[in-house]
Amino acid sequence: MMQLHPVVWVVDDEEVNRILARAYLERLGWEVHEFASGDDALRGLQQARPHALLLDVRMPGLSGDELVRQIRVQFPDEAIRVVGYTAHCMEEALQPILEAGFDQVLIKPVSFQQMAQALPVVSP
Amino acid sequence: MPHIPSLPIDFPVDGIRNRSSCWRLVHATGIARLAWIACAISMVVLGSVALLARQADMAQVKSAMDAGVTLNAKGYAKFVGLNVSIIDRELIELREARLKGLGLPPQSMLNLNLKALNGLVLQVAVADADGLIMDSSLGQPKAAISIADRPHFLAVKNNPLDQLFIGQPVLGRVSKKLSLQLLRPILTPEGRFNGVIVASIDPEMLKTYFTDLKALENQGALTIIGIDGIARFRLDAKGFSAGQDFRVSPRWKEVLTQQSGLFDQKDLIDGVYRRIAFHWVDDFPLVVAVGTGLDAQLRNFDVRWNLIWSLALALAAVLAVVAATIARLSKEQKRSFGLMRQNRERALESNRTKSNFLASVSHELRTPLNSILGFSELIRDTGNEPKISQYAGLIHKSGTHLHALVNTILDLTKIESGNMGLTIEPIDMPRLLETLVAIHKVSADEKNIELSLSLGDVAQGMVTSDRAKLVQVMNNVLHNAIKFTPTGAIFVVVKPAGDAGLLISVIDTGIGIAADKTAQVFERFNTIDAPVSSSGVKGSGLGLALCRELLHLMQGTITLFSEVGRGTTVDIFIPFNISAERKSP
Repeated sequence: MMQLHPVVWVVDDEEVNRILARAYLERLGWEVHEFASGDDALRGLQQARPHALLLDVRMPGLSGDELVRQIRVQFPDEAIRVVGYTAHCMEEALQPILEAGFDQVLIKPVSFQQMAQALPVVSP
Repeated sequence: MPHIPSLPIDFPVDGIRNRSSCWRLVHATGIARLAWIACAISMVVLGSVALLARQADMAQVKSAMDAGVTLNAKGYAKFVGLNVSIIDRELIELREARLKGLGLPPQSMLNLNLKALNGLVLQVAVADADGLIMDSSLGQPKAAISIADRPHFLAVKNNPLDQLFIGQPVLGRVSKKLSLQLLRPILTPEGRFNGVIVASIDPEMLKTYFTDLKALENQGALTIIGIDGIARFRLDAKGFSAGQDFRVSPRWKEVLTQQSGLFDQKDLIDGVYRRIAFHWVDDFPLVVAVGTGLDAQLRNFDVRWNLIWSLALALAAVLAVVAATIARLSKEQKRSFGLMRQNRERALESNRTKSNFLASVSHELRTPLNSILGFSELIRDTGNEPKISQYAGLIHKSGTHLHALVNTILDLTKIESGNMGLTIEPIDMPRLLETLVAIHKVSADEKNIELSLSLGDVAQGMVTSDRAKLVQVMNNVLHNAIKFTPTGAIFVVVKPAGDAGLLISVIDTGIGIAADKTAQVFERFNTIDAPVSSSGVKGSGLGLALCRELLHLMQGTITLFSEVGRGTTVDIFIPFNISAERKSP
C-alpha cells in the first residue's frame, strides 16, 4: 500500500509548518518525509530519491534556495520537482529565489488549493 | 501613525545649479559675499572718481585764480608805470622851465595839464640845495618850509643822479596830506646838486585802476614796493597803509630776480594766506603785487566739495544698506533652502524607515497566518464535527481578512516607496467587467441583491493598462458595494469619457456615507465608524485608499458621491493609454 504513494520530502526548520505541510500533502495522497534542515535533506539525497521536495526558502544552515541550487548541480539529469515557499513577497527579495532553480515558489500563507496545484500527486 | 505626503518630483532645491557657468560662479562665491564685494568696489570707484574730480576742480579753480591775479598784476604794473612816467615827464618839463627862469604853474593849470591823472598829483614843489621850498604849484609858501630833513630829499641830495626817485609816503608839510614823493634833482650845468623838484602824489589815486575794486574782494590786497623793499603803497581790507619792509619776506629774493611771478604766501602784514602775483613796473624801480585770499577763493570750492562728499557718503551708506539687505536675504534663502533639503531628507528617511517597517511587519505576519489559515482550512474541510468545522471556517474567514489587510498595507507601502511597477497590456474592459461582475454575482445572490452590468454605447472598450491592478480596484469597489448594500441593487455602468478613457460607475442603493465623511474614505488609516455602529458591517478599511493610489499610478481617478440611506456612486476613470513618463515611477 505504501509503495503506491509518491514520496515528497518536506524541509522546514519550523515544526508547525512541517505538520501543516504533512496534513496538506497526505490529504493530497503523498507519502511525506520530514527534514528539519537543508543539510539533513542533502545528506538524505545521497541514499534515496523522493519524487518531489517542498522547501522552506529561509532556514538556518543550508537555506532552501541554496539546497535547490545544490540539487540542480548534483543531479542535473533528474527531473525532481522542487517547490519552495516563503513569506517574502517584495519583488526585489523574490527575484533571486525564483532564479535558484525552483519549479514553483509559493508565498505564505499557502492555501490547500495552492498546494494542490503546486504538488499534484503523480503516479510513482 | 502619521501620514507623510509624497514629495513633488521637481523639488526645487537643486534647480538653481542647472544654469550657466557664470551663475554657477555666482552661486559658488555666495551672493552675500558678492554683494559686499560689489559694494566695496562701487565705493572705491566712487571715492576715486570723486578724488580725481576734486583734483581737476581744484586745478581749474587755481588756474582761474592764477589767471586773475596775474592779469591784475600785469595791468596794474602798466597802470602805475604809465602814471609815474607821465608825472616824471611833467617834472622834467617843469624843471626845464624853471631853469629858463619860469615859475611853477598854479595847481589848477597843473591839473589841467595832467588831466589823465585825475588829480593824482597834489602838488609840485621846488626846493633849493638846502631843502628850502622855493616854489609850489599851490602858491608861494607864506613862511619858510624846509624839507631838508626828509629822507627822500636826503636820498636824492646824497646821490644826485638824474633819475626819478620815488620816496616813501609822508605827511606833506605843504599839502598836509599823506602823500608819495616823486623827485628829480636839479643840477647845475656842472652836474652839482642844486635842489629838487618834487611831486606829491595822492596814494589813494593809485587804486583807481581797479575801478570797481573787485581785486580787493575775497580778502584781496594791492601792494607797490620799491626796489629797496619798502612798501610805497598798500591797500587791503584795513585800508591804505605804507612803509612796511618786505625785505624780510622769504620771497623777496625771488621777486628781485624775476620780472613777474606767482606764489602762495601768508601775508607779512595781515597774516592772510594769499595767492600773490607780482610784476615789475617798466622803467621804474617799483614792483606791484596783487594778492587774493586763498581761503576766500576756495570757500566756494570747499562748500561745493563738502556737498559732494556728503552726497558720496550718503550714496555709500545706501550701497552698504543694499549690500547688507542682499546679503541677509541670500543668507535667509540659503538657510531656508538648507531647511528644505533637511526636511526632504528627513521625510525621505522617515518614509524609508516606515516602508521597511511595514514590509517586515507584513512579512512577519505571513508565517503565523500560514498556520492559522492552513489549519483552520483543514479543520473546516475535514472535520467530523459540524460546529467545529463552522468555527474553523470563521477563523479562516477572519484570517483571510487579516491576510487581505496585510497585502493592502504592503501594496500601499510599495506605492509610497515607489516600488510598485506596472505591467501594461491591452485589456478588453467590457469583457473583464463581465467576468468580475459574474464572480461577484455569487455573493450578491447570497444577499439577495441585484447586480447588473450595463455596457451602454461603449464602442471602444480597449484600454492599455495594468490588468491585475484594475482587477484589484474593481474587486475592492464591488466588494464594498455588496457589503454596504443590505437590500436593493447595484448597477455597474460603463460610458466613454470623451476621447480620454472610460468612466465606470458603480451605483448602489446601500446605506451611504455622510457627505462630510466621503473624503475620509480615501484616507489611509482612517475608517469611518458610522456604518459599523448603524448596521454592524465593518468599515472599508484601507481598500479605497489603495484603490485611489493604484488608479493614480495608472493615471486614473476615483470619486465618490453618497447620500446616507440612499446609496453610493463610485466613479472610476481609466485612461485609454498611460503616458510614457509615468509608466515607471
